[in-house]
Amino acid sequence: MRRKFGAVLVGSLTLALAATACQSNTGGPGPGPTNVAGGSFITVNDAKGPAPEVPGAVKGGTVTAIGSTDFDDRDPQANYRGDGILVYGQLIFRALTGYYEDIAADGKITLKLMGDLATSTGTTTDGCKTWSYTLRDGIKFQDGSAITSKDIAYGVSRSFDGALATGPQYVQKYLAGSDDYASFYKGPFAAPGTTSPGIETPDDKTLIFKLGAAHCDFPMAVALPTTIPVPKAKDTGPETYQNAMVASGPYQIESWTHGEKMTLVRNTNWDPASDPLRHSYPDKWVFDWSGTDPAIVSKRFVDDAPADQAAIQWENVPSEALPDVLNNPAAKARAVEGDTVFNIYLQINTQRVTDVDVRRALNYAYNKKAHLQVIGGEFAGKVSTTITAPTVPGYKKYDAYPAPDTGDVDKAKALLAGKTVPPLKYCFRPGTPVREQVAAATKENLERAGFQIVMTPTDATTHNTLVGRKSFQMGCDLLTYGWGQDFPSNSTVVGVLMKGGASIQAEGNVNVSLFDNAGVNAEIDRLASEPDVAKAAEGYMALDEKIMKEFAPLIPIYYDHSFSLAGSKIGGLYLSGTWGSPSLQNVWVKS
Amino acid sequence: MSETTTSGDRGVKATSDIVGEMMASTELSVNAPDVAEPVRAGAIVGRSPGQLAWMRLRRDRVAVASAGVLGFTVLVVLAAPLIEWLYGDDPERGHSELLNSIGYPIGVAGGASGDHWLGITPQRGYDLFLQLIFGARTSLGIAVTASVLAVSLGVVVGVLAGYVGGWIDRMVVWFTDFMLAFPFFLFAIALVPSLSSRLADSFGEVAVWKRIAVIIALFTVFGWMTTARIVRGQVISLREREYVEAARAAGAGTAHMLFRQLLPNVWAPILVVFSLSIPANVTLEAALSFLNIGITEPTPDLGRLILQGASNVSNFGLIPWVVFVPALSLFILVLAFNLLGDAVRDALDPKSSR
Repeated sequence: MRRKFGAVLVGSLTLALAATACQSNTGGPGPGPTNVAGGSFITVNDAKGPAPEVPGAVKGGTVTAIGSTDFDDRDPQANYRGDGILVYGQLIFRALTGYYEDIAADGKITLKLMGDLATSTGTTTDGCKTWSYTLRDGIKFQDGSAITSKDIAYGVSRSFDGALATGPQYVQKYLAGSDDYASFYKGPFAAPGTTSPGIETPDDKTLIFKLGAAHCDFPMAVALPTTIPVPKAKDTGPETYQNAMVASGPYQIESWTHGEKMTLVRNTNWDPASDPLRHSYPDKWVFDWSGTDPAIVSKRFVDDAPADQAAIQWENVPSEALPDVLNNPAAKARAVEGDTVFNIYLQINTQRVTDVDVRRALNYAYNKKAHLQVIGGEFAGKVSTTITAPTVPGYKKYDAYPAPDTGDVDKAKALLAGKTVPPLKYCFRPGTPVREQVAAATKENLERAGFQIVMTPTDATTHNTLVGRKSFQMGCDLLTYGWGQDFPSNSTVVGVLMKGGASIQAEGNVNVSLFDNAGVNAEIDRLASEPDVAKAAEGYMALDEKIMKEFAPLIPIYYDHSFSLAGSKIGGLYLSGTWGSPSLQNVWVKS
Repeated sequence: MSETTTSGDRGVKATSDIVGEMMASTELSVNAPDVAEPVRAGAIVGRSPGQLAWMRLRRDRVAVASAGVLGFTVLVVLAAPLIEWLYGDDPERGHSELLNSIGYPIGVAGGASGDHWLGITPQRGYDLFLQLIFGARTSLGIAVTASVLAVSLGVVVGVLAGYVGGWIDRMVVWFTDFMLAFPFFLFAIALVPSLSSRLADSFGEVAVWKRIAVIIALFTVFGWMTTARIVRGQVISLREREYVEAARAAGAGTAHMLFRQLLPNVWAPILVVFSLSIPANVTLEAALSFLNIGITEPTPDLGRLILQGASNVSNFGLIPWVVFVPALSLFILVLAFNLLGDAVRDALDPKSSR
């Protein structure tokens, strides 16, 4: 998933997700649990609503989340930003399966994959090629109409549409059996009245997926927003449905002014007995992106005035507000901190910057420390050297371009000796002083090594859609881009970021460096069908190192870290290891 | 306030020799600006109104001090590249090695040292001393250019409206009021980013000079109205004077009437408006940068430095220079311009100080 733009949590919980054992004979994610670094991941196939009560939690109150960047793509099937998926999944929409984070008394999190709209995470009898689901009783849209298997099939079908390509693409690719899902099915807008081939709905309660190839991680792929049900009668089109989305979760959208404010109120047709994943303690949620300076927001949280006591900071404390927080023990106690799943890169367009030595020189020259200092140093992240983040199963540390954190100008210059490098176009999202300082730091520290950097600010409001557009990517040499796993497997990191060929599409392309190497593509295909999960994880890590050493398609900058504040009346907040954002699952308002 | 100060200064400072001159000048200027015959021919021979104003200005201690501050600033700003060379650093070079892990300067007083006299800025680690000099250069360059353009435009519009009169005058007055009613900041917030992005080159980059040009153009478009109104009023009151009538009767052409008869006599208020519009533009430019729609990174800018200082105001124990020096510099600069402007007005038009 794309990186989030802010995060918060209570306590200091770090969840490293364990690999799921995929057994091709019985199918389904394996028996678990597998303990890894304080957390564990299990699949629960008999979960029943309601979700267990959070100790001490009471109903009522309004929670305000204050951030500065609205979720870029609002359509349920197009939403792919970490915090956007989290808010959609925990508050507004239900999907076929979902995650519940069970927090033990000692703070350890057990991540449970369960059936959400479905009774189980899915059953297969033919080695992960066919998956069938039975829907729960009592599941309803906000208008009171029952959610049927056809609504989910329609939701999945519309995700094939080109205008919604910014969303996750796993289910589409799995159904198509290839990366080129656009030629498999065009979506219900281009072909009215159709649903995607491979999806069968024999009755309103049964849903069967017949995949193009075996995929044992399918239960995790359908936990992504792709399977959010959409009532066909209410769908006005891929561009306009976002203005009148029909909720299936505990809250419905009361109003949403894009880029400014979203208000959620209770969905009275949501039945807690049908939902094992969600609580709904607050009466109302307000997401406020009205553009307040993050430093001032941080200071408001430090002061904890009555109006902000039931608020959550929806982005990191910026560097200029850090001393205020660190020098104030009461505020620091309300800080929520932890490593997230995201890794931030400076992507190099390998089709424009074709000389691998130039890309290597860029890797040596980049001053990662200067970048981190602008955004909050150790509270914003740790210097990264790999494509894979440490939270991904199989991660192993290596450094293909050993240099101090401030970069090694001499090594870069040695690689560039005798070469004429044309000016490099650096595309960045403008709009806040911090973003512009990062851009200035990037320009300055690459120019130390003799590069010429041309600063190209993009359109701040549509940046995320632009960044996934191939025609836009082709106009940039350098582009900052963060990525986090979609589920605990490197197939959702190296497997998608570095996959070339048909995987590079016109819209929603996450291979931002446009890296396309036949050998690497073949190896990713081989690892995707590798039945031994541990072996596959090892293989992905080896491939990661090989790609960085031989091709250097990107500069790893930092492994993201979350550090933000919450008001004193917020209870039940913690960092979701799954989405790298504050989890709203257990949040309640103290009276 | 400055009026009383300046006239008080005059009395205190004047030596016996100067008293004579001063009395002569003040007595005279009470009558009319175009009369320049000294009464006491014994002490002094003829002086033009300009000379008299200059004399008054020279004896104004506040004016001299303000001019000194401004002269020094202009000198420093013009010699910025030389200072940079002597100082041995670059205003746009970040010193990440001098910042701690969360981006704050290592050491006391914001990392001040022999190499970095005023320390370095947090987050990016720029040298504050050079940022200040180059930031002032950006700010002053924009303010002075915009003031020259705006005042020139205002004079042209004002003289035209006042002299021609009739429907042209009514149109101009209406348009001036219309422009005055426009909310400047709303307009700037809407216009600057979109205009700047339209000026991108084939690479998509917006050159620094284009951004500067956009801001100067904006200040000009919104800065001419005051001048135009004042000049129009002056011209209307002057054009019925006898000497103008006389010139008209003698058959003088329009150009002669405008440039030889009218303009020299509205010169005083124009100069005053000009000297006051520079500090106004300096603060406006700083405000735009403060709103993050002015000059962007990495070009040094006084407004952005102040913004950074403001956001660190509660860390002042940590970095006093970053917090206070940029704001103090702007304060001194604007104060000096204002005081000098007041002094110029007093010198050119002593009636206003009575």
